[in-house]
Amino acid sequence: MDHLHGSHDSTLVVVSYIVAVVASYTVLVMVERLSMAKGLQRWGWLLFGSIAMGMGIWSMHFVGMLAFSLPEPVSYDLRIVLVSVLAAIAGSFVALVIVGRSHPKLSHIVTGGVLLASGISAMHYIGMAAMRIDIDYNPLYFTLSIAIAVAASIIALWLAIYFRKDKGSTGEWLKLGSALLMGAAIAGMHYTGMTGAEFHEMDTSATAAGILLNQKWLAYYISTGTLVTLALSIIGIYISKKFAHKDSELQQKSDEIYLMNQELRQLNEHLEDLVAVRTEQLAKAHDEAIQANLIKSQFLANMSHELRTPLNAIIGYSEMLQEEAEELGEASFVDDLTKISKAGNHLLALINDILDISKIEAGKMELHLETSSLPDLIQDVLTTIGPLIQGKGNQLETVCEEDGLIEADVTKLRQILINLLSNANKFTEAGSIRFEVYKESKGEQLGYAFRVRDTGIGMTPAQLAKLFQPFTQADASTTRKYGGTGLGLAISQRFSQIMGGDIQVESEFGEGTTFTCWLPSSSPSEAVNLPLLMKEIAAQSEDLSGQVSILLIDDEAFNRELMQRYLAKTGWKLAFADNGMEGIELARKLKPKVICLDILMPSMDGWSVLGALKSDPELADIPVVIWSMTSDRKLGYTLGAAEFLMKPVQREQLVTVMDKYVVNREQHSILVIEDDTSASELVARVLRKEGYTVTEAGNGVVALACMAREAPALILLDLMMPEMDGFEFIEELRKQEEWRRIPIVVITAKSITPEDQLKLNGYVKNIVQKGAFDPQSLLAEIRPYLS
Amino acid sequence: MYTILLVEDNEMNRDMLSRRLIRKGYKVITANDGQQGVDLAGSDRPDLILMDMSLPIMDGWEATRTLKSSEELKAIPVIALTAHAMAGDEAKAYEAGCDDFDTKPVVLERLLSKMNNLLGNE
Repeated sequence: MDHLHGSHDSTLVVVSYIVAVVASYTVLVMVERLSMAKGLQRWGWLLFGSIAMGMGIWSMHFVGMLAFSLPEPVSYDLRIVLVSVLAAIAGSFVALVIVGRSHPKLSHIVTGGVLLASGISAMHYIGMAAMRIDIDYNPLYFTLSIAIAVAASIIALWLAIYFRKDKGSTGEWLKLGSALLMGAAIAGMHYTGMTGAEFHEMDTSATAAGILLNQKWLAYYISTGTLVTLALSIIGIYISKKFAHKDSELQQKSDEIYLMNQELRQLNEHLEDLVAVRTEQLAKAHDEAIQANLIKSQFLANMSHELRTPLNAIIGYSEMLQEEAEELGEASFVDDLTKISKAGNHLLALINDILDISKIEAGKMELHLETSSLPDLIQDVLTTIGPLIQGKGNQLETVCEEDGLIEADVTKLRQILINLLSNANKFTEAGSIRFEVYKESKGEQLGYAFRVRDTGIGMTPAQLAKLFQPFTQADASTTRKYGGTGLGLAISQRFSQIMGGDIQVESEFGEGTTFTCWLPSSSPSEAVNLPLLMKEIAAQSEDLSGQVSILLIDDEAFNRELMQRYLAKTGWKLAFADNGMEGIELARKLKPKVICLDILMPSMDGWSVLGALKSDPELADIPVVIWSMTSDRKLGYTLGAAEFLMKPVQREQLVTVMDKYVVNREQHSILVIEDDTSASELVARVLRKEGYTVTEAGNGVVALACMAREAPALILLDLMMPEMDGFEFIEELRKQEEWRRIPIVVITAKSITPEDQLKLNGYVKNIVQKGAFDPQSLLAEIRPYLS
Repeated sequence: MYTILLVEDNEMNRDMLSRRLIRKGYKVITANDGQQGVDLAGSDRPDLILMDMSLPIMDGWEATRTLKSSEELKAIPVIALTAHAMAGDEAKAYEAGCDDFDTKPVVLERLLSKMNNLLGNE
C-alpha cells in the first residue's frame, strides 16, 4: 500500500476554527442558561443544548476533514458519519448534565470534561473511520490529541461555570476570549489528530461503495448551516435567559417569602406557646395572690383576736384601779390610770378597724338589720362624738328634721357616722362642722342622706382618688400628724355599700370637705339571710328555666348581694354562681338573657370563663357583661365581651346596662293613647329612643281600632280625651278576655278623686301625674311591666 | 347577793373580771375550763353564768349545750363572752342556748346591764 500525502485548504481550516469558536461560545452560554432552568424545561434545554453543541463540534471536525484533501478522491461511509455525529451529541449531553447542576464541584467538572473529550475524540476518530481509506495513527499524536481534547473540555466547562455567575459586560468579553481559546483547543485536537494520521490507498471497489463528496462546497454548506444554527441557538438562549432571569428572580423572591413565612410561623407558634406559658403563670400567680390575700385576712383576724385578749386585761385592770383610786381619794393616780385606759381603748379601736377590714375582705361581714328611730340614733352618735368635738374647739351644728324610721345595721351606721364626724373633727382646727340628715330618693328607692361638711384642710384631687382604699391616708405625713389606720373611710364605704348605699365626697384643698352617706330607708328583707335566700333564688331559677334574665358569676358574696339589692325592683329573675365551672353549667341549664361576669376569681378566672362561654355554640350568643375591677377592655372585647361595668357600680348604671340586654324592646309595643299630640309625641319619642315600638292613638275609639290589629304589650293612657275617654276605654278593654292582662299605666293631668281611684283600681298598674313628666322616671315606671 | 359563775381560761382576765364583779357586790366563783364550769354549775347552782367560748377540755358552746340539756340547770341564764366577734360567733352562741352575748374586751357597764336584765333586776 502506498503512502498518501494530503494537504489542507487554509480557508476551510479558518472556517473550521470559527465553527469551533462559535460552538464553544454556545457551550458557555448554554451552561449558564441550564443552571436557571428547572424540571421539564431543563431537560428540554439539555437536549437542545447537546444537539447544538454536538453538531457544532461535529461540523468543526467535518469541515476540518473536508479542508484536508488527498491526492485521491476519498469517499465516506454515511452510516459511520452519522454515528460520529451521535457520539458528539452524546458527549455534549453527558457533559452538560454533569456541569448543568446548580453547584457543580471540581470533580464534576473534571468528569464532565473527560466525558466531553471522549465524545469529541470518539466523534473525530469515528468520523475518520468513515473515510473509505486506510489510516494508520501515530500513537504519540493520537495520545496528544486525546490529551488536548480532555484539557480543552475541562477548561471549557470550568470557564462555563465561572461565567455562569453574572459578570456584566466584562464577562461577555471574557466569555468570547474563552470561546476563542476553546475553539483553538478543539481545532488543535483535530489537527493534532490529523497530523498523526497516515493515509493509505485502498481498493477502488471499496472506494466506490462510499459517497464521493465535492469537498470544498460541502464544507462551506456545512459551516454556514452550523454557524446559522449555532447563532440562532445563542440568540434563543439570550432571549430565554432574559425571561428566565425574571423567572428566577420571581422564584428567588417567592423562596424568600416562603422562608420568611416559615420563620413567621415558627415565631408565631413560639409566641403562642409563650403566651400559654405566661397565661398559666399569671393564672397561678393570680390564684396565689387571692390565696395570699385570704390568708392575710385570716391572719389579721386571728392577730386581732390575740391582741384583744391582753388588751382586755389592760383596760379592765386600769378601769378597776381607776375606781379604787377614786374611792381612796388618790386624784393623781386617777389621772394616770385614765390615760392608760384611754390609750387602751384607742388601741382597741384601731384593732377593731383592722378586724373589720379583714372581715370585709375575707367576705365574712354580716349584716344585722333592725328598724330603729332616726332621732335616737343621731342622738346616740352626738353623745359619743360631742365631747371629742368640743375638746378640739370646733363648732358642731346638727340639722335633723326627720323623725322617721330607718332599717339598717345600726351598729354599722353608727360606726359610719362616728367615723365621718371624727374625721371632720380630726382635720379641722377651730372651725365648724355641719351635720345634716335629710330624706333623699335615688331612683325609686327612698332613703336618707347623712351629710358632714367641715371647714378643715380639704383634699387635692389626687388625694380624693385614693380616699376609699384601705391603708391609704391623704399621705404618709397625715398618719404621723393625725394618727389613725387609714381604714376608717374604706370600712365606712364598704359598710354603706353592703347596706345598699354609698358615700360620696366633695372637697377643695384648703377649703374643707363634704362627705355624704346615702342609705336606703328600708333594706330589702332578703338581705338578712343571704345564703339561704340565694338558695331560694337558685331553686326558683331552676323552676322557671328559660326565664332567667341575668346570671351573675362572681365569687364574692358581697357582689351577689349588691346586684340583688340593686335589681330588686326590676322584677328580673336572677341566678348566681360563685365560680366559673358552676357558672358555665348554669348558663347551659338556664340560658339567661345576659351573663354578668367577674374577672378576679380563684381557680378559673373570668377570662377563661368568657373564653369557654364564647366557644360553646349554644352559649356564644348570650351577651356577657364584664363586672370587675380590671380595666383590660381590649382583652375583654377581643374575647367577645359585650360591655364593661367597672366596680364599684352605681345602681342606675347597673340597671341601665342590664336593661339593654334583658329587655328585647322591639318585641314590646307600647300603645300611647293621648289626645294632646305634642304630649303624645314627646312620650313616643322617649320610648322610641329606648328601642320600644310605639303606636299612637288620639282617643279611645282609635285605640280600640289599633288594638284590634295588634295587641300591645303595654298601654299608656290619658284619662281626659274626646269621643271615648280613658275610663270608657278601660270599660271596653275589659270586655275582651285577651286584653285584660295588658298592663295599663295612666298618665294624667287630672287630679284623681277617690271615686276615680275606685274605678281604676285593679285595672291600672300605676298613675303618673303629667305635670311631673320626667323621661327617666317614666321608663323606670314601665320597665317592670315589660320584662 | 347573786352568785355568778365565771368560766374563763385566761388567768389574768379571770382575776380581773371576778374582782370587778366582787367590787360591784356579786359573789363570784370561777372555773378554768368548760368541764369544770358544768361541774361547778351542778354543785353550786349559781344565779348566772358568764361563759368564755374558747376554752380547753370542753369549749363554751359545748358546755352551754350540756347545761341547757339538763332539766335542773337549764334555767340558769348564760351570757357568752367572746373575743372573736367573727362572723357567726353570735349566732353560734344563741344556737348553743346562750341567753345573751357580749364581746371582750368587756365594757363593764354594758355587761352589768345585760346581767341585770337576765337576773330580773332593773
